[in-house]
Amino acid sequence: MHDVSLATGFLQGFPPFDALSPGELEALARGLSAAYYARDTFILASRPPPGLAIIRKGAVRLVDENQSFLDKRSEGGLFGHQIHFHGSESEYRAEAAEDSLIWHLSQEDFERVLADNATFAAYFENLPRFRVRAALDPPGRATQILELIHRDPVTLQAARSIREAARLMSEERVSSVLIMRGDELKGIVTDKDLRDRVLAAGLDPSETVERVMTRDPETLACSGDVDQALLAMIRGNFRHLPVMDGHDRVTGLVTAGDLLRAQSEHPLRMVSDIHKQGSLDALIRLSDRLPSLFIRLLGMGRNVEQTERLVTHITDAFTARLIQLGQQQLGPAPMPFAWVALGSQAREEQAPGSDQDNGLILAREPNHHESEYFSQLADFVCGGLDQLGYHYCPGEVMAMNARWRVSLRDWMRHFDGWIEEGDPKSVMFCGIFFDMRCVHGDAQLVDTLLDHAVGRARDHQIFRRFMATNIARHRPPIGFFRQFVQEDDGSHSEGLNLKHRGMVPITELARIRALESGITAPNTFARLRLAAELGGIAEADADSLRDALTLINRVRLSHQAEQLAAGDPPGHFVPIESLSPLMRRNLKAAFLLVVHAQSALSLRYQVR
Amino acid sequence: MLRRWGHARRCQRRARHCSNSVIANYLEACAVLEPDQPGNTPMIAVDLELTGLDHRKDRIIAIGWTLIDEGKIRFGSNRQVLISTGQSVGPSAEIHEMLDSELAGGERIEQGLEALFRAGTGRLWLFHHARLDLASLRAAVHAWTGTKPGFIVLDTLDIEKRQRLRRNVPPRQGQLQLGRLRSEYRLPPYPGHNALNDAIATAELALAMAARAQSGGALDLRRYRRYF
Repeated sequence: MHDVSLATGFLQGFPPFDALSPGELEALARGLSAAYYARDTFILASRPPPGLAIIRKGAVRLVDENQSFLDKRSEGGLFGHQIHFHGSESEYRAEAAEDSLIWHLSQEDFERVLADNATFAAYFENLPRFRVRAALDPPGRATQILELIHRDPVTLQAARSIREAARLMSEERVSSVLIMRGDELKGIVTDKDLRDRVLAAGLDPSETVERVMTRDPETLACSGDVDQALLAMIRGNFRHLPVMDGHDRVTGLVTAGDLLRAQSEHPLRMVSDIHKQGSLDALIRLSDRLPSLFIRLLGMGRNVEQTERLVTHITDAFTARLIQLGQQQLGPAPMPFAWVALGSQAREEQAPGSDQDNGLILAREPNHHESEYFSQLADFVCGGLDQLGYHYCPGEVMAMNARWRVSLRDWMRHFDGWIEEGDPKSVMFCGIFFDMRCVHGDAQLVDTLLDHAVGRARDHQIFRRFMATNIARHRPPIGFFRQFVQEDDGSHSEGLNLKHRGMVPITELARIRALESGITAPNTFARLRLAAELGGIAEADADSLRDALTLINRVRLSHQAEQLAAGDPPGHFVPIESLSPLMRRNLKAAFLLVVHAQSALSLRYQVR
Repeated sequence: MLRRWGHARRCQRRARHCSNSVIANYLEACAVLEPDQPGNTPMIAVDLELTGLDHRKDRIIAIGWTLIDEGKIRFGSNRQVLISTGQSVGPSAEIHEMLDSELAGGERIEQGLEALFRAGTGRLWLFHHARLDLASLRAAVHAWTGTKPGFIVLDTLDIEKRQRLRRNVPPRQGQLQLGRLRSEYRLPPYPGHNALNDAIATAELALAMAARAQSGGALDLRRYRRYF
């Protein structure tokens, strides 16, 4: 088996390589060679044609024959081919701007791919268009121009004055106005025109607007997609383009800002949008964007830890905004409180489609009246989350359940009770509640509670032994003969339950190791890292568990991305047939690491 | 000097007595190989996946390798051979049993070794932590052909360790792990626990070490190569 999956895996997301069929991509990858260049060393010159170079890691500086700087390219960037700098093609030399790992395709192989695949070749003739494509397209769908239009166009008749145009723009808070005669588009006036053609030229603002408008502006057809808009803007250096319907009537206007926003369906943007919404309905509308956002996120091939953290950020933002909206209705809280996330949200390891797990810590014992306030607040927030797609927790571990909406002192009693009793149910509760993080309110309350609870657990060896017993229940899906064990629970007849048999055991191992070392951080990666630093677990074992978790998670998330793209609810079962043989082996290796770690723990606590 | 001479003599002698042509060719080439600079020494980066840490008992379940020529890793030479342990050298039946089902569909160990030693003929062998892999390879080849092969080896773990000792910063546990070292050399993270990925990862690390060393004097293979 000749295996170039490391190379194809890296290239397949990037244009122009995304234009190649899997077979073509693999053939290309086999022609690659890899070399490492220390910072400031020479890599190649553009003459004679050296083939194509891909920056796998690091950064490369392109300079002309006088060593003048032309361009800098970073990870994923290409060079070696003919490049147009400032509109004209020129010779250049490439040097490593940092220590860099460079993949190289010979000129011969490069030319063969160019000849075989027209789309691939077009990339090197017409770069901007493809850049746009890559930036804007979630795989498979282009944003349509119509989707960018948010309002009716702001128009003014041509005979009106410049001052009226300026006043209209100011009232409507727009940076341009379309100038009409009757129904017909005649021109456009922008902020820049008012500056350059009116103020700077000393023109009387009572002149007609017709005198300063740009006549017969370039327009877009509403049937086009975002690529066309961007191309038109780049070509003509425009920032505003009127959009025409099928009957040559103006239907709207697209600005450079609209395009920028269209390509930035970024999770962090979602977070800032969440904070701007003024009602539950508005939040629900916003949450319609979640599935497509998740598909993008998962498809971006970011590292798993980061993806889950972003998903969690979004949940946090929704929760915090709901609490604020609730307080707008109910008035300010009668005492300090902390809204805490539990489980995967607390660990910042949330996957799309998770249920909600949360609780409320009150600074002191509430009276009847105060109790009612928090009950209503919790109903509002939990109900809101449910409507946003974070469904009610089947186990009712939610702030709307009075049991999980109590004072700090009662929370401490809860933990003390569980740790003392050490029956299976208590251990289960500890599994949920030790993973706790403050989402909104007074974080000090959470710190105080966790310091108390983790301290007790650390001192209580018998309790930890119960936890270890519990861990032994979640076995990875590896049978005695090292074959995969598949699930069968009626609805999912076959498949690996990656969550319960892969991730949960690792999370549990990390939790118990964290408790041994008195670590209060909920994140599994952080727990393992800290436990290793504090000597609670061998560094190599911590690394292995982290690797295993990353791998299992990656498989789960990419499977969920496929499910979301197909319109199915994301789940944790992955059919074995859908995994490549290599991936099966890797998964098995990951599960074996978990088995080893579990046995080590069982041995330590003498659990059998 | 003496070591090299002795090693070459040993390789020649074994080549003469070896009935297996692949291993005999390999040994003859090994006897005349003289690595000096990374840029002009052909290398093969190898990683094995084993069932455990004891080469006398544990067996090879996967071999991954890639070739380096003129300081460049050739992706077209990437190979990973999965070994089925059902029918192979030596006893130790308890392990077969466990792995039969898992590795059905893999190749026989002899086929894997043959491909590996063909590819590695005339090359410096590159490992990250060579000892265990070498012991396993030697035992497997001995079981197959009756000859123990020699190797000229570069070990990225050993290089780093000695460089650190020389700078008087003895490495702590875990610091010399492949992934950790790669990130120090600013190489990208690869999914591990896969023989081929680890072989490529080792190859890249060796090139990075060589490139770093070049800014302050070449990485002299005569200093770091090892004869086994």
